[in-house]
Amino acid sequence: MKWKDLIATYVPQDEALDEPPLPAAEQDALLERTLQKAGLPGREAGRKRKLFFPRRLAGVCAAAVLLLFVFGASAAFLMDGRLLALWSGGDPSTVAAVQLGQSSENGGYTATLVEAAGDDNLAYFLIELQGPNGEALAQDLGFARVTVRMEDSVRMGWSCEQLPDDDLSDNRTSFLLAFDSSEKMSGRKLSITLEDLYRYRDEGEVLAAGGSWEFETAVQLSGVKRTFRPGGSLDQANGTLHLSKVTVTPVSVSVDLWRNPLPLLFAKDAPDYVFPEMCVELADGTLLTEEDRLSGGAGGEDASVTLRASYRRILDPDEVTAVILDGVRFELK
Amino acid sequence: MKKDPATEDSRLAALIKSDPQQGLAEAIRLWGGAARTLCRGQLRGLPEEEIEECVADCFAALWRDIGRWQPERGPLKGWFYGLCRHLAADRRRAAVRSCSLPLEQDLPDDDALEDQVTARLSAAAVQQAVDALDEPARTVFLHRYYACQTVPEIARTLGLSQKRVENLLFRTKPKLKDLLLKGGLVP
Repeated sequence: MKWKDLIATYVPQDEALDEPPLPAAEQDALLERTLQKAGLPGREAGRKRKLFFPRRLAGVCAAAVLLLFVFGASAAFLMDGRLLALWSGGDPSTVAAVQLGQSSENGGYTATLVEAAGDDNLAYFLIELQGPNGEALAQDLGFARVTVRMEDSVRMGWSCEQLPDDDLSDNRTSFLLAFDSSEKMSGRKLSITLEDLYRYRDEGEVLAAGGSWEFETAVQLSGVKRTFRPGGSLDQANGTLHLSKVTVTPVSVSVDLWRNPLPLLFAKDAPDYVFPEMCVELADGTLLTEEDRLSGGAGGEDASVTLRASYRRILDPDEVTAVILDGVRFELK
Repeated sequence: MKKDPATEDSRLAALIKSDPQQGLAEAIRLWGGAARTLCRGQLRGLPEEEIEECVADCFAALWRDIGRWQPERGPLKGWFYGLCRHLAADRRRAAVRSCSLPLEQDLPDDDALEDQVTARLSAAAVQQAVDALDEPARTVFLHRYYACQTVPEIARTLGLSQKRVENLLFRTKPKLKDLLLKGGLVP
């Protein structure tokens, strides 16, 4: 018998055969190929929530200093200017916010979870990163992988991006982590892991600090909210969506629907499920479209579907008069 | 604080079951590099696409067969590495059968034990004997015969000279043979 056959029953117990992680892009490609082979939905579909940040966010954040001045006059108001700068209108005092101040150090870089703002299902976390003394942190940083877990497995999605920095010569910069959950996050344990800090430059990515920054927290962001049950339905090519609930908070509009018949999402020839396009109508006639979004997503893996959008304007729940799904208007009374 | 490996294994196994996308992403981050090395070692001579397909098959099998992992029989990683090796060997045999891979690509048939002797060896005995080897001889041996890497690859991976790798293998094989014959034979 050959040595390689003789050793077939051996079970590696330690690090002798371990290898360094594959580059992030190769990990992503391998994951997609694996999910395909396993007949599992893709990663974004699996999360059932897709958050995105338009490039114009940068422009909004550039106004941070001004907004900090305007709203800093309110003694009761806690929110950091970098979070405030996400929104360009409305009453910021209605947005639920909480200070966190939790730090994690790795490789000479300290990440601090400064503050969170949002509502029961959507949170924007401000993360400040401080590098070693004398090291300038430029506008080219990103974490190779960001993971957020909430106790009791639920559908969730997240996105983490470096915020525009007005001083590229110092050793500080900040990131915005947007987290969206199908379940209320109030009081539940959240684990946030940031891994491998890279500098992304035209000539290629360079590892600035390997390893991870880990946080465990729980946030309570319940605040102003109005719930409507407008009823009605929306016919689609592969079934009907029935509107069950619309929830409006200062930072988001969520529409809960259920569909009939159930889509055969995992059948071999199942058509791609298309979520309806959502707009929000305000009392003054303003129509908030996808162009006005700060982030948003749609998700659902069985009968239930949730659409959620966060806009660059802080909403007064009383001023929202209707949601429009694929052009069909549902009045909120 | 260092996490308990057994708890971490259980957590990852549960995550793979409850949220395959997240669980597999974590498994790929942890073991993607090793899985590729294990597949490449078995499939040497086949196109790179074939190796990549095999690596993806391994992680798909990790999700599909996660219920078969028994924590009391060893860490999740060890079980997964065995799965990789097994799947890659199957693919290799299929390639040999279809003549896309010549037989001589196999590792040299060197001085291992006679078949009638190995038939009396238990898996536990092999485990014990290999783990009794000194370092870096044990690691070099595992890279050569478990991961089926070449001497230059091992030298590069472990930061040793090729001559040193060859010497370690040369000295380790009779030592392991001795350990197996002395202590590993099933009565």
